[in-house]
Amino acid sequence: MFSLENAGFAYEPGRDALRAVSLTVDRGDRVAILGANGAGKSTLLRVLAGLLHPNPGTLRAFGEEISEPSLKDRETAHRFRRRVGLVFQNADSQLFSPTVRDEIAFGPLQLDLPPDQIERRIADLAGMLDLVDLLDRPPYRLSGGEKRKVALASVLVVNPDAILLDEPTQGLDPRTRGWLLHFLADLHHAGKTLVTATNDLELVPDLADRALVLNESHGIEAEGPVREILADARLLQSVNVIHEHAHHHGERLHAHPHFHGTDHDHDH
Amino acid sequence: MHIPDSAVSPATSLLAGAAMLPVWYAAARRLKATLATRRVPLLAAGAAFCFTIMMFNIPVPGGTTVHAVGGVLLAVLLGPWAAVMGMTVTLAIQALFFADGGVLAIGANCLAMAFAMPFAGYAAYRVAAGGAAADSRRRAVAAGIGAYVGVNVAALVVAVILGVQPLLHHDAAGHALYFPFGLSLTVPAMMIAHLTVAGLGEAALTFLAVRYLQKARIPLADPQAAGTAAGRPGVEWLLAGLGVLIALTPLGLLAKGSTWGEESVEDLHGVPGSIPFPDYLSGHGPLAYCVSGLVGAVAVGMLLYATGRLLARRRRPPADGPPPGGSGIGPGPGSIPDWLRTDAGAGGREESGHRRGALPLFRGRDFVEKSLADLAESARTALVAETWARRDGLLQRLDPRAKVVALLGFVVLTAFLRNPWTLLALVALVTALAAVSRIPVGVLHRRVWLSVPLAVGAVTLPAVLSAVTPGRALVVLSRDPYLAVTAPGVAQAGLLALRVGVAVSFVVLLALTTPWNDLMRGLGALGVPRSFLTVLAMAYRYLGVLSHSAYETFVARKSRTVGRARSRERRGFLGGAAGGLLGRTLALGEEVHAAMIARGFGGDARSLASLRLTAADAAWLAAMAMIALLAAFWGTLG
Repeated sequence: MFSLENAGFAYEPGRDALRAVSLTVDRGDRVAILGANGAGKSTLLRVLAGLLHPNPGTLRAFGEEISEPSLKDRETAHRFRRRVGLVFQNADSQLFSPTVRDEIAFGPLQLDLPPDQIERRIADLAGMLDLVDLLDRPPYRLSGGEKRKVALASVLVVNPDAILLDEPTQGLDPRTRGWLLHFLADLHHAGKTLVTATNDLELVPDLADRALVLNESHGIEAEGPVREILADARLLQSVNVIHEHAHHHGERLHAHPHFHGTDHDHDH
Repeated sequence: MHIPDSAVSPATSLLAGAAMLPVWYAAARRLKATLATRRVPLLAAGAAFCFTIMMFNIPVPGGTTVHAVGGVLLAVLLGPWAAVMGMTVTLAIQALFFADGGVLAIGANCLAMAFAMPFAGYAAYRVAAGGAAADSRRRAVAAGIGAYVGVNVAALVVAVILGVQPLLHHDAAGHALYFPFGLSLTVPAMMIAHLTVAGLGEAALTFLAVRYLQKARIPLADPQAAGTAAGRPGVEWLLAGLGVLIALTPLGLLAKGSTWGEESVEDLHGVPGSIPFPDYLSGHGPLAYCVSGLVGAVAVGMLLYATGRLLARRRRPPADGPPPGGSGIGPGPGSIPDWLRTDAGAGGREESGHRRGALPLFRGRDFVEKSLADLAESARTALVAETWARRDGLLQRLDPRAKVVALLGFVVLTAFLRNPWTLLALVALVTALAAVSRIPVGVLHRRVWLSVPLAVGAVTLPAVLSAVTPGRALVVLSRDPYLAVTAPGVAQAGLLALRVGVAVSFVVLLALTTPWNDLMRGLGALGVPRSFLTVLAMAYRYLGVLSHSAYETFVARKSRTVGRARSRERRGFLGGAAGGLLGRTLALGEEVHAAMIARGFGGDARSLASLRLTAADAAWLAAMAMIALLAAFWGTLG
């Protein structure tokens, strides 16, 4: 589905945001991209979404090369945009339309879907995501959880094959977070390919089968099944996604690598 | 410096609009050709930024306030053509939604602030900057100089447009029908305020903002992006020169337009106030004046072009200096520095002056606070307006196109009316329409009539005096020297205020009863280009985010300072905050653009629902047309 080869990217010369990253994603895969703040997770997602173009390196998606010149062709761009959706980390930047209805309709209108089909899809999505009462409200006045749902709806409405999610649970309350995990699992069962960037390790087992770990020099540190990656505390600590956790057991200071959501054994 | 509707004659407004048409066309084409969709969110963000900084009023001696415009800053950052679009969008939002500056007068306001200002300012900036490096202090100083030049040119244009009004439009007795003061008053009044306080303020703001952008390494406009081909360095010179000249031609054009057929040269001599270049007019007639003006324009244009070529030959290619290395901040990570510890003692004392309790924003009133209060109020009004726009009333049910056509049609009509009774009848019409649309009538009228004195009332007040408008005395203020309030003076000032108020009423009514989105579609139906509406809609969308951001910046700063900052510090902060705001605005622009592209954005705005005119809309249009015809008959007689 996606095949990224030896991709590098720099926002300004001399300051790499990605270094020699190769990644293959197949249909129906669930991949988590792990890494510390600034490791290049968002950049990698934007490269996969065809918003940034690797230099050096190449991106192939759905059997064709995706590059700045190839996306200039309207046909190619439409084909690609219909099949890949990106949910931004900051919902505020993704929601720019005057009403929720306009927001959800934006993508399919731009991609030339027929209006009656768009109406139907908006109704279905609004029912599924509990947005019916919000359709005529301006998106920027919604709560954080509602914004996230609208952002999801605005991406799902074109029925993409692959959904790229940038820190999807950030800033959500526990209930909305739980709901989102279930929803993403449902999408996976519906055959969607999910690529999720996160540094929230707790939800990785629920979100992905495979993990790609970016280190702080913007390259790939490791790649493998989620279980193996999460079991490797030394690796995770070295790339700064878990921290040395210190706490007291009685008088004794006890320190061990820690991330929230898994248990650890105490042998003292 | 916004000209309100009906303060200038319809002819002036239309001529200014006609003069802007080729500029808008060229700007749109230039931007489309060079930058495609990438500039759209950036432009929208820039427009929203200008809107935001125009809210920051700076007090000037004498009790009034002036505000920064930001037109030159936009030109320095995005290029002069982009600045044309950005400023036009800003002025359109202000006119349509905040009744600041006229809808009909948008051409005149754009001529000053969206054309003359960015081009003149950009040209001055290019001269002053020379070949200085992109991150050099000289470039920032040059931007400040450009801003000073630009804002003064814009002020001069406004002064000229206002000042020619009494000359061109007056009744048989010689009393002005529109703006009452001649050039001898408007030019010094505007120029003194802008050559001193406003110009320096604009320059300081632009300098500080550019310094900020340089530090944040946000690139300034390069000649390619600015739409100025690198091979033709003289072009912007020519344009700047032409911009100033064209902006000043209302003088010539209008003299021509209204003198032919209607008034003789002798009539003009009877007008109170001043006559510019009386020798030109009496000696050779208006045609000769226009021809000589044109010749002058061409001559100066050629001179500017030649100068530009000469300078270009000597200009070195701009050197790309290495970016300054980032310096470490304070102590390394991990350790809490001593001063941050609560038990250290010194910290506690430092904190002792900090005030607690009431929200810091509303303690005392300095101008920063006042500006932010204004901002908050505007945002609140806009939101309240949206709730009214969703009520079930007559105007809310109409097709937006029918509503836009009818209500803006009345704005145009109002500018022609001379009979105060007709104007009062239109006030009654607005009141009735508001009532059947479930808009609180009191709110509507308060919003209109409280803003009218600010817009024209204070300025026109001296016109009631015998020194300006001679005539039958109503109240004699002083015998020696003779000073009285005259009947024609009161009639004249009252008519102007009434006319402006009625025009503003129709705009406010439209804004209150129409959701922003529908307003955009109505304008689209009127032939406003879609690309422009896209920028307009996005700029409006950014406003909420930006005003919130400005407020937070202010509160964050306030929470870090002790007691009241001195005026100078506050101004410094304002400049820095403006730079920060601009940086954030542009980042937001980039981000939103990415989000739009990810969802397949191809450059044009699309909408789901199709508009359909119903029988009710037709009936409404017919009724409004009847009323307008009646008003036109009745109102232009007196």
